[in-house]
Amino acid sequence: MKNELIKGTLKTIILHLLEKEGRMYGYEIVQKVKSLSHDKVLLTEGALYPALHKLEAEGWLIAEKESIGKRVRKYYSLSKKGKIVSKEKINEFKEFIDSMRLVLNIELK
Amino acid sequence: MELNENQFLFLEFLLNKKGITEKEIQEELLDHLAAGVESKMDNNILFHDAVDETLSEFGEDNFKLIYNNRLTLFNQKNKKKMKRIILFIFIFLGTIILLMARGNYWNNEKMYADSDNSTDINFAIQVNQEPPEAYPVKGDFPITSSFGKRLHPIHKVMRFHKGIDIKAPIGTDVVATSDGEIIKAEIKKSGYGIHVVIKHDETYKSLYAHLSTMNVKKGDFVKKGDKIGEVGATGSTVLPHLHYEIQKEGESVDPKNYIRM
Repeated sequence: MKNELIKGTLKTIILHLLEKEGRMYGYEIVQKVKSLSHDKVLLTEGALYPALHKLEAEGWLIAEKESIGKRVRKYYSLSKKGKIVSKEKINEFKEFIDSMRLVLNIELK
Repeated sequence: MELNENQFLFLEFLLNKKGITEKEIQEELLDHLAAGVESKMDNNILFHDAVDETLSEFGEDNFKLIYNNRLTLFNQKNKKKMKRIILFIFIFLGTIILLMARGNYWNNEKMYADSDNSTDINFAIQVNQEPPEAYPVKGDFPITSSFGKRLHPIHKVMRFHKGIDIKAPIGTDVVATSDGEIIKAEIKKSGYGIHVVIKHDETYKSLYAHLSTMNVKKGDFVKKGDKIGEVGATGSTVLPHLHYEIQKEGESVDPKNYIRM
């Protein structure tokens, strides 16, 4: 799937996944999106991590680190604010799909 | 399958070589790469091949994107912090300056008295006084010249007489005709000579001219009946008398209409 299309919805995808799964780390998010979309949506790390860091700076995500020996894993989960924003983003996107269906005259199967 | 320590160190070495050294981001990418390599090794791919594949999947651009973004984010955070600190300093200094200015305004009496700014005077006289209605000299002395057009006693021409003259001997007490603030107490060789002007309120002022001495100075407050000076013959006059004027909103009016004996 084209990157430009994914880009606009990346934040929505991240927020929604974290809402469903509770907490996840970067690699896990990439894999989850890949399997959910039957390998159609492949997130690039260059898009995912900046988005995660931005959401964290925004205060929508909480990051926790867990270390095993030298290896550190950074888990992300939704903050209270993030939970509200997540719902808003999903609604926004639903409205967007409805509008695009009308504009592009797409018939659902 | 989990990477052993050497394999993990090798990945760390690769990231360092790419210039990704900031601890926070290195940790996260290292875990990401390790997880990718591990999943490939689970599919029976050898470590070095798994690393090559993972790195090529990742792509050079992605490393740069993540790293640069992180730096911008970091800078933005710092900028925001700096802005907040600067704003705080400004507010702090502003408050101090305001407090100091306020303190100065209330404490500095000289500034208050010397100020010609009428707003300061408004502060002092908020309530309208009664119009000046007292007789300006103590004692039963007659009005010898009325308000209006008259032949000027010295210049011998028709002039408008802006007040009244009361003939009285030198040294007779001159009193304030209503409460007010002395806004003028001047000595002039000609014209009014030694004269005093009292501001009673925003509407009325009264003027006492040709005095021999003054008992008040600019900025003083006087009560109705307070002595402000003595009758004299200073300025443009021949005989001792008091020249008395009332100004209503800046225009001279006939004091006779105000005096209540």
